[in-house]
Amino acid sequence: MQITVSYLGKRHEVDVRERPAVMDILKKMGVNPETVLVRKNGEIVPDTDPVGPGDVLEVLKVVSGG
Amino acid sequence: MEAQIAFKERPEGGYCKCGRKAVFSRKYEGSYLCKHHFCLSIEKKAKRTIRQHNMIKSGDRICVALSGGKDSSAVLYILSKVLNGRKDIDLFAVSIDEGIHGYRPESLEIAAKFCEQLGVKHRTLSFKAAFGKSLDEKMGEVAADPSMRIRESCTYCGVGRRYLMNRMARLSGATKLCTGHNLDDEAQAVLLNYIRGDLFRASRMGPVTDWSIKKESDSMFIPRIKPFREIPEREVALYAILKGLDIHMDECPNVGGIRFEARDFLNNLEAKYPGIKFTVLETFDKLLPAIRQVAEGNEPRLLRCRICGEPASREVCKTCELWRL
Ligand SMILES: [Zn+2]
Ligand SMILES: [Zn+2]
Repeated sequence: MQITVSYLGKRHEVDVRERPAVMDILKKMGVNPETVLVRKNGEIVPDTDPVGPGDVLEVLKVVSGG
Repeated sequence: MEAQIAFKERPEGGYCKCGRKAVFSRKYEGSYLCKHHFCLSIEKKAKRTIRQHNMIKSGDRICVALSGGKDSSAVLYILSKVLNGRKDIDLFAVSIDEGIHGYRPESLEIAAKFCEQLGVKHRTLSFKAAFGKSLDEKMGEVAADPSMRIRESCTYCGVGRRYLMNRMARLSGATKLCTGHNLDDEAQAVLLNYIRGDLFRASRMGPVTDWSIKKESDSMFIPRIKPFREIPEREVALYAILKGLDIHMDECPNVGGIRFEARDFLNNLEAKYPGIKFTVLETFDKLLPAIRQVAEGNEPRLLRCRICGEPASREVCKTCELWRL
């Protein structure tokens, strides 16, 4: 399954197994969950939230600097 | 009941104790929180920190250092909420315009608008007006002169900003200077002071930061309070987003250095061992009385800068050395 993720102004297509959680996708992208918040289809969700086909994720970097 | 059924269908998701869909999973507490209960918990925590450490008392004039970013905007928002109706406490905000091209103008506009909405008095002070040049202009000089020993823009910026904030707060009669420093900032500072061996600086940390030295009778330093010191940065950001605060999320284009490494180190640990940032700060708070004892007697002697009259450890203060010589 492919999930569309926007992060730092770029769109990424991330390949994942069935029914991953948000944090699995972050891990795959090499992003530490402690440094971001995630919107799923426009709503902020916990990083334990499940992601399904067609979901659109937006990753917001929230720690200052770099 | 519906919530429980849904929970079974989606085992990885999460629901708040009230049954609403969670917006946040707080790992160090093992809790899921909905928007309402998350915001409530942040406000409670900030209030508890203020109360526990006697940060605010009747008659205080509180100056909030407002950058337009999430931390200082959220702390001003909560203070204006908490102090609403308190006629015995005055609240106002000050912003510094360092003069960083493409970064500052927008955030200052946001800061001014935000204060207007909250009904909080606001003033802006620029490096250009205070020192005769902006940070960008200063860094241009540094780049052109290889003999200048200090080359990092963050040093010029940080030294200038702390100086102007303290001076502004004092001249406007503030009794407290409030900053948006969060748990991440504090835990990083603990590590950095340790790594650098800066015990004097470490001894001045803690919930109420006071740089004045006991022997000095009339202090030139305004005590600093940090109501968010026990709230992780990510949670301050979520609070600001959920409250719809118009915040400037861009990062300062100049940052870098060892603080970054401390930040990444702590975030990597936190991801594996939730709660580690709290432990770093808690342990430090417990050690603080001992650190103060060790540092006592080693304080730099406080003089008055011969150029600007502000406190200095040498004949000329650090700010004048960097900005005015
Ligand atoms: Zn709730
Ligand atoms: Zn000076």
